[in-house]
Amino acid sequence: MGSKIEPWGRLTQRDEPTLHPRFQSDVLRAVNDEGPLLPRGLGRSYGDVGTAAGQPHLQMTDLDRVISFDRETGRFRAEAGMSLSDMLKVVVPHGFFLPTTPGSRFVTLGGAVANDVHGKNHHGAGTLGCHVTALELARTDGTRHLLTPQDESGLFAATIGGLGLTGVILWVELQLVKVGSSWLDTETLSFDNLNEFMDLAESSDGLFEHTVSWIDCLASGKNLGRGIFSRANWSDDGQYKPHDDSSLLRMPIDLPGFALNGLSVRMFNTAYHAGQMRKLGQGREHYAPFFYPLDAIGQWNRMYGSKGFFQYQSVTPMAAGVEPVREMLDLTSSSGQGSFLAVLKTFGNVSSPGLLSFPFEGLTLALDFPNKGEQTLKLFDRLDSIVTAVGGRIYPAKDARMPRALFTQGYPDKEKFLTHRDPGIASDFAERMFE
Amino acid sequence: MTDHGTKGWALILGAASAMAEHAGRVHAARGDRLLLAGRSPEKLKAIEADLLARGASEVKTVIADLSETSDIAGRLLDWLDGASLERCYIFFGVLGDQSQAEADLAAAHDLMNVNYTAPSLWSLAAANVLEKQRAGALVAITSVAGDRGRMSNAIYGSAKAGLSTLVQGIDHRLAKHGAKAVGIKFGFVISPMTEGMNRSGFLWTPAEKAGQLCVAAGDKARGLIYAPFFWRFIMLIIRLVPTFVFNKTKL
Repeated sequence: MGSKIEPWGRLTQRDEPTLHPRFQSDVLRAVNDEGPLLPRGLGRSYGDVGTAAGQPHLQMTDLDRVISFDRETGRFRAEAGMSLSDMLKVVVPHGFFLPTTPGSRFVTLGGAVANDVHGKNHHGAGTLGCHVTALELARTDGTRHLLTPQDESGLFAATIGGLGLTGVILWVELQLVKVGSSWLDTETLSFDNLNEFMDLAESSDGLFEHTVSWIDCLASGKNLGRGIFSRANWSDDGQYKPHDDSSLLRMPIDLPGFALNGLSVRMFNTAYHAGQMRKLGQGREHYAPFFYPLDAIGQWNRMYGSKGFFQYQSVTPMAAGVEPVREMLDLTSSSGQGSFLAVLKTFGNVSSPGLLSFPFEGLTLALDFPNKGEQTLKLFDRLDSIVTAVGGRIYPAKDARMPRALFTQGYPDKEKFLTHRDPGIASDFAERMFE
Repeated sequence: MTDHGTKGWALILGAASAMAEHAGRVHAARGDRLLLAGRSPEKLKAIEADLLARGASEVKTVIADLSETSDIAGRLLDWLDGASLERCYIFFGVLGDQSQAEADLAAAHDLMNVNYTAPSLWSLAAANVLEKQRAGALVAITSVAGDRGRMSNAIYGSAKAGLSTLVQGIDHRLAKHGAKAVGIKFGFVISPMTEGMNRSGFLWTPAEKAGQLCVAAGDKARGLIYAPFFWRFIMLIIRLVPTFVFNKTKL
């Protein structure tokens, strides 16, 4: 029986066969009997890494149990379908937190590892994969593999950021970090251009664990690259209050297309900007609004209407400086295909453990675009050439359209990765890149 | 379960079901002591570790075939081992294959046993303990399928109808002794029992929500209730449909 399968960007909305294992034995049975299939978590990947047309989707979210949690050392092991949200509710009261977290807590542990996610503290902590101490993989040839960072076969490195294509991750063990509070001391500053952003990023590097900035991507001319810089450190008041998911807002319907014309995007961006402006200065914020501002609106992806949207997230090498970012913003702003959100962040020099991990030292820019068909795709082609020219890459977790050549150029370990691929796992992304 | 002072067991019969597991998580978050009974050691072990991490002060598991009806009273006392029974949940049950059970009466007998005879005997055994304690609650999961017999699930439905009536009667009896019982008639729940059906739409309740409703019912309700509440009105209408009209449907 089918379920509605749609990626976060909602560019496809299909009825697909779905399996709902509840226990590891159910997963093993499915992995041995069905195939090719694709394990799937909470569907927060924007493009097609989490969909496989016509193939069974192994919905992993009922495998959401803690296997062990050492409240002294912070070693935490749980089944792959557990959400980060659920996990934080368990560990925060004991003074622990994720070593790094993506911008949504509604992702599964398995999905977070399979996309080797990063967060606002990448410049110090690296990706989530840097903190995986062990995991177990079930492959469709019937073998099971307990993998650790010491693994020499290459299968661990292929699985971290491996988009689920090396087998089904049964459970993940992480080393959590001890934090002083469930609150952060935050500081918000504005900058007028990208050079000022670079100065802020550099001066914040050793002093602030978390940094991120929002760019007003509709600003042009002398305002191009203006934005808000947010930086924070954990408080140390010893208060450990987990978040509560019971009062989340939902966006129950798709907004109609006209809600997204240039004017309304402009108004949204201005409002967002003003909202940030008001906070200029120092403050104190709970981890939920700080790390997960968009989680407060249940299905914010519906804001873009029924045609869905793209996210274009690139990383360009530090050596190329801020110029590629300036060019991409310039193109976006002059195209008039406004974006709700532009997020800019520096990646540090902690190397990513996965063969297909996205982050490397440089600047990462994430832009959202409502799907306007051909003209949007054409804009991406032009953004691609900026990324290609400086040896950058695109984030598969966000992608629905990158050309194969750009993937191949961006991920030089691709061939090595393919030697570890499980042929019994299918995804639309894999089909697009490898077949 | 602060309402009873001492920390006795919350016993979950059929603890590996999706709904039961989520009810267990509510108790774990309260720091309660949980006693899990079910058939599969692998499943109970996974659930035990999880509930401990989620805050349960103690978790004990017993591997048992709950549809086996011999010496239920003795087994229950054995498991409790002198501690009090604060909550007894009865979650086990099987939807079964109605057409197969019609053709093979032995299969029908099995369905009646697992959905009526066994849970009823466990209910009676728990009621005796609760009555003696003069405290605690029995919570039994039943179904709207018992409200009106229909061709596609009359065997399951009739068993649930019987169980509902029994639990309602047990509550009547316990009301005089400071304890209580509640039967919960669920509508459509998204769980392995209904895998393969088209489960979209507002009538479908996720197992997590259903599990939470069970604990809330144990906290606040007694007698016989519908969950979610709107099923009371749906079933009222369905019961009022005249037979000559109802018999033209193929439900």
